[in-house]
Amino acid sequence: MRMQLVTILIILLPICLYAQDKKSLPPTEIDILSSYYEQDGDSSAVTGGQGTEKLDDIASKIVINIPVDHKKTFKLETGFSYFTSASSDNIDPKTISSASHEALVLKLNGEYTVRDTSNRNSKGFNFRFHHQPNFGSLGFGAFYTRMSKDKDREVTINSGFNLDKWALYYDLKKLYPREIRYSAQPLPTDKRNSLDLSVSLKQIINERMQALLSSGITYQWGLLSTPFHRVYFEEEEMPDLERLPGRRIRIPIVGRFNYYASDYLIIRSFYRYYIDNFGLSAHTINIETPVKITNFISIYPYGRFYTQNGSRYFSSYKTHHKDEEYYTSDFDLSDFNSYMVGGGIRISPPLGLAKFKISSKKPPYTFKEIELRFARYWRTNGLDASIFSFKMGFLH
Amino acid sequence: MVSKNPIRLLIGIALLLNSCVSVKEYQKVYLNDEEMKLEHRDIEVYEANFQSYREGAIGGTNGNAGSGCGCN
Repeated sequence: MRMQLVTILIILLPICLYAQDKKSLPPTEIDILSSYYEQDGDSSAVTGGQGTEKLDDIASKIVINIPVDHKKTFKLETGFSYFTSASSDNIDPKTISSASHEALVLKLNGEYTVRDTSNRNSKGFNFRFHHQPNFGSLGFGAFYTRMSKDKDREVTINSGFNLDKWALYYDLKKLYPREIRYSAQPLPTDKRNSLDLSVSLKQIINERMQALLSSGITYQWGLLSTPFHRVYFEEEEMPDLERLPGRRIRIPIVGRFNYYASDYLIIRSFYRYYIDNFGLSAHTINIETPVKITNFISIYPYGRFYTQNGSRYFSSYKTHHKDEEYYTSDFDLSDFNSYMVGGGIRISPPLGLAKFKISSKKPPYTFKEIELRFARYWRTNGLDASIFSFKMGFLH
Repeated sequence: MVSKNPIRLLIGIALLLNSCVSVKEYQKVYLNDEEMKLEHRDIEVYEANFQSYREGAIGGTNGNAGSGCGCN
């Protein structure tokens, strides 16, 4: 009798452990994010630093986090962006609309992470794929994170490599402005490569404060100008293509500081200093103050200030000289300040907002959270924009 | 030339980090709050993207890092 009981237990134990193991895996997380963006201005680089910058963009993506087991997760992200651009319509000024006046951009990203809690580290790799009619990109990366014994400190190293190519399906010259398509000196390549490496340190300061310090370096080489941007010169009627150096080194230094000020108020801050070898430098400050209305509803106003010392290669419409080696009239690379103000609301009850089933044979989905966000943005050189975003989170 | 202000800020942050106290796991209720994460919110990705297109600076956000898009 005793032997029979032991036999039954031995047979049942792995089944119980397997069921326990499967049951105790975290749920799959599914997030849907979308946005609508519109901008306008009067300094389009496509028309040499003047002209409409009107652009509308609708974007959406779905992000799925799948726990493979207790140590491994796989994240898959797929999405699209559809934009219409009045300035890109002017690549060919003789037609009502040109090839780039509207475009559908497709994106696919993936990430695989392995966590080793006993050794207090995690590592993984990722890939990125981006496709639009006149541009394609493939990227790979890897990362490693190590925590201190008391788990109050965390160091992360991130690396990545991107291979970009303009004009995937045709000659790059078809992207040049129409009137100089066959007369301009051709650009040296249609490819752009990027290597980046960054290190970050997260540190808990006390029960209510934590901070992050991070820096990195991005090295780019290849075609670093935009093939359909025009540059006009003081002495000439006909423009040329935008021409920029074939190598760029970009260095951001980032600090974050979050403080749980009271039971209802949190302060989130972000600072970035940026410098590159194009002569561009910039400071960014972002402050956000989430207010907890209840334990699961928070509203957060925020403000952002950005100031940029422009690239040495920038000059406005018809102020470049033909004897310069590199030139751009893209106001994104000029001196300016920008301001952004906005707000959001996040609702995330512990048991979710709702439960629903798609199939009676499978576990239910939990509608976990919803978040809405709106911001206005404007630059001192005339561009202004609005963006509305939302997120819905589900568990399964 | 690199401005001196970011260097001073970084020195200040380094000194602040040196004044840290050890926090036990059961004391991390506030630190583990979703709003206290030391990263951009997921929903900020679209703002971070257009900022990287319309401004020269990159890095520190969940937007494009200067590559992988038809932008400079």
